Amino acid sequence: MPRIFHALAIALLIGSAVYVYKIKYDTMGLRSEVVRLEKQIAHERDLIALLKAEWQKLNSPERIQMLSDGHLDLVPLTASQIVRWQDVPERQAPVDSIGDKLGTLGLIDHPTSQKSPDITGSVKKKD
Amino acid sequence: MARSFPPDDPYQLSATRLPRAEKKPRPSWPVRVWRALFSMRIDKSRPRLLIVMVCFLAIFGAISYRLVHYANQPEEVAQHRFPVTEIAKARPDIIDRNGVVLATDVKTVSLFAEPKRIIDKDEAVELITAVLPDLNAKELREKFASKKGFVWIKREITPKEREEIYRLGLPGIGFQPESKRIYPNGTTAAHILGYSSIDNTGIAGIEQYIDTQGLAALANAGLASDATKLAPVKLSLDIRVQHALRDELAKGIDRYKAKAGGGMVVDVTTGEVIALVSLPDFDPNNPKDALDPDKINRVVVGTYEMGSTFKALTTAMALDSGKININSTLDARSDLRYGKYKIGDFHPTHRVLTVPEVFIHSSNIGTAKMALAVGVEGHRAFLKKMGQLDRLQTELPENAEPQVQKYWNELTTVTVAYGHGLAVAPIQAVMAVSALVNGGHMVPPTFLPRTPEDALALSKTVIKPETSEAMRYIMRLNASHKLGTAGKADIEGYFVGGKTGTADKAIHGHYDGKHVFTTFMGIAPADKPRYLFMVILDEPQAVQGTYGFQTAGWNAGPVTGAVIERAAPFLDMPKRFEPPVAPFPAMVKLGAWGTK
Repeated sequence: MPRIFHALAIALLIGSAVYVYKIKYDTMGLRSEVVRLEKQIAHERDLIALLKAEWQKLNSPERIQMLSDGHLDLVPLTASQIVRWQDVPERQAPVDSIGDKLGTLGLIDHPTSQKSPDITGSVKKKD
Repeated sequence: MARSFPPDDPYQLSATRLPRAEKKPRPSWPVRVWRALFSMRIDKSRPRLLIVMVCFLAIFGAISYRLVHYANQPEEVAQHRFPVTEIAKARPDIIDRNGVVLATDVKTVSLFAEPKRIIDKDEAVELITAVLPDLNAKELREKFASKKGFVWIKREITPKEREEIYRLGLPGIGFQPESKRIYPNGTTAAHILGYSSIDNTGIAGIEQYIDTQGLAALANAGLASDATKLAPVKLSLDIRVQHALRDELAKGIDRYKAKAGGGMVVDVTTGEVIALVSLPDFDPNNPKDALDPDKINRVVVGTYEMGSTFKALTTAMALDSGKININSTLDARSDLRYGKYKIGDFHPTHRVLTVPEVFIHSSNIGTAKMALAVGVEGHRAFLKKMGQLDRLQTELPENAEPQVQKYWNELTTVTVAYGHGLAVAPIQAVMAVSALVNGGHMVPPTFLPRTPEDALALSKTVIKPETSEAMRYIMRLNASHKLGTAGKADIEGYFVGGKTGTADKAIHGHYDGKHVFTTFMGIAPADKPRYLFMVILDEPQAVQGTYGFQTAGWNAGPVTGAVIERAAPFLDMPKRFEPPVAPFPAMVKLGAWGTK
């Protein structure tokens, strides 16, 4: 009986020693992983800062204006271009001038387009 | 004899049992103590064991206590991971009111050498100059020959150069990670941001302000060693408005062939500077560029005689004093004479004018008479109250002392009334005019965000609200009336008001009438002003389309109009399609000139 007890105690002792050893080495591994990740985060952060700076440089108003002046036909917004919804003129009924001409000449049976104003619900003004 | 001892004393230790006959002389006490220490007697071993046990317990107890004690101590190690030098190098980002980055840090590496550790100096020089051809080999050789422990070879090298140098495998050559300050918007907000040195210390503008503010805060926090922990500094600036102002001003300077110019957009309710431009400017990415004295911040550091825009101050003073009201009449039929000086009008009317007429005709005589009605002392006290006689401090480290005449007599009051004989920084005049139109609350201008409540709390009331309404009324009248000088800035839908100013520049102590300094102060919307737009032009010329005029209404005015039109969509100021209903009720009630 005491012999088994002794064997058990020794086994426990060795077992716990091995366990502690393992935990210790795992921690060391994790710690170096943490250091590695921290370094990576710092590096990524530096890269993000660089990209942000580059993004802003590319988006700086001065550069956008230069590109717009060089490549687009846009002109600066004037105050008179800002209008209310109700001041937006009604859309003109589509005019099929070729069809009308052919219709008046009697070449085809074409109803004059002014008779059927083709205004869809979304365009139609709601006041 | 040995066998005769009783069995209860098996170790034969009992001295009493020794036969008397063999009695030796008793040894001296040190010998006895010595023997007692090394003799073993079972009957005396118990206290010894006890002593040993107590000793061990004490030692183990102490060890256990220290272990527990250490385990409970907070960790202090982590804070010292970064070298101290990095603390000074990291700078917080600077962002505008919408969060757009105006200045940021980017990591670079710099190349240094420890000359004592370089084995073959000639070889090192040869190899390094092969990678970095722009380095001077002779200088580098001298650097390596020096007795210094540390020399910079090149600051801020590229990652590719770093890789190549690294591959050379030279001993005594190292890389130091550093922060480099980047201003992605280039010149756009140069005068506000200022710039920083290669060691990343602020040299001018907000950058320097951050250093003076930030150091104390950093010390208090005790950490914040890298930029990620530093909160970005938010400014009241709007980069879109800033660019619009700069661009329009640059076009204006170009068009009117001016020497220089400046501009400002201020929120009159809070004192926040939305945009501030001074041209010519510099690129903060290249700080050497800023040293040219022509590139000073004219709005903040330059002092100028503001000309007729000062008439707004004089008129407000006269109205607020009660000695003049909006319907008072002033005789502008003949010039004023002071000894050899003669004060006349630029647009002479030769008749009796009401206060609004004096303002829109920009009559020097009428304005001078208003100032004389208040008196020399009252005039001076009012200007002092409006902050025109003292240096104005903002967050920017740069500022200027106004040039005030030492002896202030009646003639001084007369000339200062229409903006000559007192030179102030344009930002000071902006502060004063803001107070005139926002209901009479004088708020110091700021480059940091501020709420209207905070602004009201730190404001001081300088004029009555009724006077403020009168000022808004006459400024609006100046833009809307056909005789007014501010018509070119009246952008439809924004109800603009304004005052022009053309000051003759003193060239070698004389006003020659050819060199002028023009200003324009525009407010929008005039019934309840939110923004003040200022444009100054230094020596604009009469060009095609200005009909030979070089006065503010023909140059600074249209530039301000262009700025308002372009910047308004970015500002908290929607276009209105109907004119405001009863914008100036008190003026209508008084039946002021122009209300009918």
